[in-house]
Amino acid sequence: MKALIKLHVKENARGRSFVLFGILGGLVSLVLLTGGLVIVDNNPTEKIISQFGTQWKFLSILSGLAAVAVSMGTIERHRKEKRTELLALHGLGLDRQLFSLAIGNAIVSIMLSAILALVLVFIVIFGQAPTSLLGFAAAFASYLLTAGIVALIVSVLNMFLPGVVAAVLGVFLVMIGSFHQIIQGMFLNNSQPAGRILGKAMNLLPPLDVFNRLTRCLFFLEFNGGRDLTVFLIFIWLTMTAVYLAGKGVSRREKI
Amino acid sequence: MKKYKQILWLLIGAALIASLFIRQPRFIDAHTIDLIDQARRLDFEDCWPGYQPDMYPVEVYKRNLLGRDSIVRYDKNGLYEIKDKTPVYALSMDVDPDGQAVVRMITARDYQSLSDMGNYDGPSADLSYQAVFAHEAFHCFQFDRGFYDLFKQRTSACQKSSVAATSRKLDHDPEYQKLWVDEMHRLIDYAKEGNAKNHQAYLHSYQMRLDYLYSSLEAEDADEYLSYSALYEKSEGTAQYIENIALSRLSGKKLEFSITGYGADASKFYDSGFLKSYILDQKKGLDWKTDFFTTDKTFEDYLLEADRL
Repeated sequence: MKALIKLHVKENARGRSFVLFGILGGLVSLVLLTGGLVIVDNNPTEKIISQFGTQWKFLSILSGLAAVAVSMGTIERHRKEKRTELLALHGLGLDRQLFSLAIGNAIVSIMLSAILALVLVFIVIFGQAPTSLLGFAAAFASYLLTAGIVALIVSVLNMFLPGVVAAVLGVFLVMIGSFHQIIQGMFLNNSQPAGRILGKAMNLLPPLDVFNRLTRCLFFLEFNGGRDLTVFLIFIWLTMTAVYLAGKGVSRREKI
Repeated sequence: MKKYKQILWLLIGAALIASLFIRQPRFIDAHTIDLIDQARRLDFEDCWPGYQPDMYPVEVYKRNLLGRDSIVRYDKNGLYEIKDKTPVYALSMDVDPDGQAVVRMITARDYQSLSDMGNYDGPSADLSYQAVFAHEAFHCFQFDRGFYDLFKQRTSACQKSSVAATSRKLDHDPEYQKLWVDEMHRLIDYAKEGNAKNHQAYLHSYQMRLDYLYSSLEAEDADEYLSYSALYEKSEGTAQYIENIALSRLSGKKLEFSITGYGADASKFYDSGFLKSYILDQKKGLDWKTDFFTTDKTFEDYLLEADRL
């Protein structure tokens, strides 16, 4: 299993997409730090906090999209290759292969997200950021894990659906998830039964904006409760369980 | 060994989900109650005599993990859950069947989620939540002063008229947008420095917009639109004034006067009404508040008078 993960990471953790996302992340960080700001009148938040907060928000959306780009089609491609059967013959069942690939996708996405935030890391190290080493490390870990969750979900989708469909659903998931609470609020605001049902159903989608708020709270050292963290950990648990069960299901169906 | 790992994994999941249920407050979280309590204690006697936010019961939208969402009411009887009323996820006001005005709120955590583009930190979102509470409670105060009879009467008249179409037409008219934004800048100057020169500049700008309205619309439509905008400025602008003052006091920062652009529909009237309320409040000895909500008087009835600052 470990060998397959390593191989998958080696095969995918290179290429132009890394350079592209590195440049993109750098540009976002620089633009937002040199004056780009979402302006709200009478917002009492300090300017520097608004700037860093907006950066984390943008980087989170970009890293989610990067995770989709990295993960789409990888499982589908693997299943079309002969090495699936070869690996099975050598004792690595399809379920464990799929699990390994999903974990590999998560690792590559995490690496890509780290590159995306590289300029931000330099700014934090050499500039004056309102955080501490511990706060930044915890925030960075939650930011990376969020990208990992997206990669795992797209991997699960790709076990059952073609790569393109999984990618479209992945982008949908990132966009809805990044504004999850606002969209859910809109549904709940509509006092019709359909709105209430849709509002409740949205609890099943990963609230990437809540994860991002957790990241910002950790970064700004204002972590004051475990609810966001608990929701975050539950989604990690659910996603890992879904990857495991989906792999088992596919393997049983194909009897490999 | 594998079996034990699976059991351990299931136990971790069960513990996480259980902790979410255990931590769910019985009614609403203590932080939200604390913020509402603080906001209810704010004193606005100096800026709007008679208005006290603690006069009104509060109904908070309660999200339930498994069951239907419900309302938690907070009034002189304390906190209690209402299950036989459809909850509405909104920041607004409502009126009980017995005629009692009620402030509708969501929890502070939900509010932070709604205002979240990354540019608010936790403490600022809390301040903003309290200020919005003061805004909505002020709508309850307007109701108590009889404004909503007038509001209902006017809005039902608007629904029968073509004012919605006129509003949409103007919202897509770049020339009108330009004139509106220019008038807002003149109002900002006047709010910052209440001298005769800025008053004249505002009057000129207002007249330009008025001329454009009457030249590009039928006179009847222009009258209707002006009446509609005055109504929303009165309702939302005064409430925005209270909200901005609350935010300024809570944060210890000065009031800010700025405009980010032309707001579609009624959203622009929040800012224009706020600026006009502030300007009128600077006029020494001018009593514009006593019958403002019970009569047809508009901001312009006072602003167009000779400058008395």
